[in-house]
Amino acid sequence: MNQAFYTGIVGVQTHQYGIDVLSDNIANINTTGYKASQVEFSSLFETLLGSGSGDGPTFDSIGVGSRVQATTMSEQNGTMIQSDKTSSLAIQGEGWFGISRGGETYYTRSGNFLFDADRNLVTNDGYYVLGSMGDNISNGELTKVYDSIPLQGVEGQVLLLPGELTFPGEVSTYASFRGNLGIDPVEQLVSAEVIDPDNARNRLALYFTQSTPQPTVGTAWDITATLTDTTNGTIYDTQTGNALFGSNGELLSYTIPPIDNNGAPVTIDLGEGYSGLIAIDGDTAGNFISSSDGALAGNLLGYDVNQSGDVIVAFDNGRQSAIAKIALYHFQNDQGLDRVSGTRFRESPNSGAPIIYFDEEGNNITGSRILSNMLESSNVHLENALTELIVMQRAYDANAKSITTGDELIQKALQMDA
Amino acid sequence: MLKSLFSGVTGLQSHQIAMDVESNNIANVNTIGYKYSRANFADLLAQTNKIATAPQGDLGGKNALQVGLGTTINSVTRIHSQGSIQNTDKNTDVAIQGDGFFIVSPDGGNTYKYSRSGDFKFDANGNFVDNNGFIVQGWLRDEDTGVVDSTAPIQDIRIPPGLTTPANASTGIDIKANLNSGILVEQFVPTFSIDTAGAFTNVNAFDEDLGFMFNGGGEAFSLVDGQTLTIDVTVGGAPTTLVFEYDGNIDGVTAPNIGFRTVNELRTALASGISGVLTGAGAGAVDVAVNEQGKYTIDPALATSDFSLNVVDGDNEKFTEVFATLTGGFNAGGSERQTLSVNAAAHSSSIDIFDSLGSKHTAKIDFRKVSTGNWDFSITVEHPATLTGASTATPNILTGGTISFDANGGLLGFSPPSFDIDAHNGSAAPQTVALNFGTPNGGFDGVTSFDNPSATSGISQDGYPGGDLVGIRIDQSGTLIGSFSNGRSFGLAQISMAKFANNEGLVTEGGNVYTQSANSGDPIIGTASTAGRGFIQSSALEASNVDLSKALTQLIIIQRGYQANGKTITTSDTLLETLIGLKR
Repeated sequence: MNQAFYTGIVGVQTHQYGIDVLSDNIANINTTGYKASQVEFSSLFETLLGSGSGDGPTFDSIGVGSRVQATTMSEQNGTMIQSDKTSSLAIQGEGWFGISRGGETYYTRSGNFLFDADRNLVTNDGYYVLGSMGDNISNGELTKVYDSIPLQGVEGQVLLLPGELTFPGEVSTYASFRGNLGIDPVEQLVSAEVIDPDNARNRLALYFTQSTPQPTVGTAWDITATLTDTTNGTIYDTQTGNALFGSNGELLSYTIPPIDNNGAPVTIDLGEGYSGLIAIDGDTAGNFISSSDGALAGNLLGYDVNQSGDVIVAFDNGRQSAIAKIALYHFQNDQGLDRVSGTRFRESPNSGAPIIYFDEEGNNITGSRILSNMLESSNVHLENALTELIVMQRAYDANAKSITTGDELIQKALQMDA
Repeated sequence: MLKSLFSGVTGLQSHQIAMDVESNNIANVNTIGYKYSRANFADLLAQTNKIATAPQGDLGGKNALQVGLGTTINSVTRIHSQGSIQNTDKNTDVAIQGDGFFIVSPDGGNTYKYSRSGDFKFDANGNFVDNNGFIVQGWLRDEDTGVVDSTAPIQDIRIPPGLTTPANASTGIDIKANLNSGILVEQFVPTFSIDTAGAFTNVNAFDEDLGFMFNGGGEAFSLVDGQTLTIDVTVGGAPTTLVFEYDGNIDGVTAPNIGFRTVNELRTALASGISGVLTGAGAGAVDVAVNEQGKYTIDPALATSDFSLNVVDGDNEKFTEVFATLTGGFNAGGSERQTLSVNAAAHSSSIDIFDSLGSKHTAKIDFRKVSTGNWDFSITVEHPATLTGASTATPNILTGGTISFDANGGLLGFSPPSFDIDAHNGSAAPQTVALNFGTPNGGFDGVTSFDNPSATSGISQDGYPGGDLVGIRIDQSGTLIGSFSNGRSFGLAQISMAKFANNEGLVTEGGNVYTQSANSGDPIIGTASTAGRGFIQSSALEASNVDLSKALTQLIIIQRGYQANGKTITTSDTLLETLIGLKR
């Protein structure tokens, strides 16, 4: 038969395939995280004319058409589009989110995540987003404050961000004081608020009275510290000590034992030199600043995701902690990923196993930045796609002409009856 | 396929990028410190159909036949031109006028980021931060030396809340004053009082030379050696004439004149002279004293008979007037009579000095003229402070200071050069306070003595009490100056600035910050307004340098360019259609 028939059909088929791919790209112009496909063609094998003696100056063979060699993924990043949802995430740079369902793990750059009824972080079709949970949530209470959560391994865990979470309150361990006692022999009162193990706010008051005798240079003060329950006036503990100030009013030394705060000891810090309490004359005498650690219990205010993928929980008492980390996977060969859909891919032998990056100290790093309140749009370029469509259509037309021309040739041959 | 088709696509793509760049510029028209970008178009490589040939023999050379393959954006240049400076109401806003960047760090100085956006503020811990929470880098005041060392490595700028400054003990007093050297003075004090036995009632008193004293109108007596005062003493019969002669040179007097030079000598002379006439023996028939007002008093308490005095004559008119009031009769055992007052020229200055604990002590310096060009001074502080070298009776008054002037009224010298004070309140003692009355040996930069009213034109000292930080402002060098409640200001920290060999090579990170790249060069870190770095303006922000008129015009250009490229694609398509139509 005429080779042109078959070559033409192959050409029509491959270009039909090309148009299919392009129309899929154009259809996904607004799909979050969509990666455009590109069609690559190659020629089919050749049939030899002649004897193939090998001495001729030309190769004397005819190709038998083209075929689709590969569809490749366009790795360009799509445009970042702002979103109003904190759980909308985008990856700036390379890398993939891991999502899982029924033991099957997929990889995507589409970060429009949501919460399900159990407060798991899921995709909009119910796949669990993978990462690592910290060990600091127990019975709806935060047990420990972390800056960052390490990733446990590539397999990942479902991320559960509870809707109700309380910060259990933090017992004060120290109270520090600054200010000027003055040099006049009048009693000075300094106080701070400290939190006790019952999560109550108590008052730590320090009474300063000048010691007798006074040193010839500087001043010496006796300290009486009392810790009082502000609600009922119960005095939990009283401690005494003293402080010695130098000729320029600087704090030379002080002694005062830790004071009992309803069962928890509180260290009293008066500073040193000029950076804490001082005793100089002047208008500033009696101005004091106190600070202490510890915090009252707080309730969940909201979640945020930082650039490293840590999920940060904020409480209404001003405290925050990382409670989970969103995993970011990398592959040796992104092109080798098995395309499940335009936004979802699967590990394949050709992509290699997923990799998690670590820095030189062994801590997990994302390798790219995770942006919250952002979504990555489709990376399809319309001007490219539409022009490619013209090219495909014209090529399709031309291949069809090969077939009709071959047909006409055969008709001519059939008409050669006499 | 047709080259023109894909040339058109590159044109569309490039114009799309240019559009993206320009729309980003317009979006940031109100972003503080934003620098606009420009997309740079470049042609793509060309296909060479025929190569260029050299002239050969009779045939001339031919140019190559090349067809270009379209355009690309080969770079996007950030234009670092100066944005306009907007004044703000926040004194921690800073703007850079000129080249350079602020340095901020998200991790305590391990990595630096660079910014032109100077919307800085203090966080709860006193860190000086930008809107990303990155801490501004610079130099802090060294607690020991009290200076901001801008040659040290840069670090996080942190001003702890509730900062206080310790007191500074005074170490010196500078005085600029004039002590009137003329014959008419406005400021004078009565001479020291003396009791009838010749003892001074004031422990710090000294016997003053009458030749340099003044009357109650501030007019100088200006007694000359040998001038006399003649008083007739009449007891019943003929008067006895007593002649008192001023012995200013201490060279003796003409007999039988009674010599005197000082206030007390005249008192003794009057007492012995008058008593001598009354009793013939010179014993104390009359008591003569000098009272608190500087007036001689003659008390006839012990006289046994009445007498009268008559001041008949005197060489020195003003001096004689003072004693003229004695003329008249005295009753034995009757009431006393007084002269007019005798006064010394004086001047006082006072200033508050501070000890190491910041306690205030008022130091009063009393000058008193003793002779031409020579003044005494004493220093008085308040109880319970004491002065080293003062008498045990008055431990808070240091006497015996002297200051002398040359004939031009310039300062010759003074003593003591300093005094030691012990405040007895726990402050460091003794605290030495230097006196600076000017340059000795003819200086006119401190205390002078012209014929001008006595006045203190300037008095200062270097101590101050402790204070709380009440405000911060930023000067042109980027120094954060803290003002304290004691009226003092100190540089607490200085903002550092970085300059790059190639500003365009910086990489933007969002959040108005840039990071260094291989092509920016290393940062050259230093203070503002040095080595080509711009100066810092506070309470101001640098506006975006996007020029809207330019940007909108650019939009028109991009749009038309995009449309034209679209036309090349549709035209190419038409060509292909024609091509396909060739074969029916």
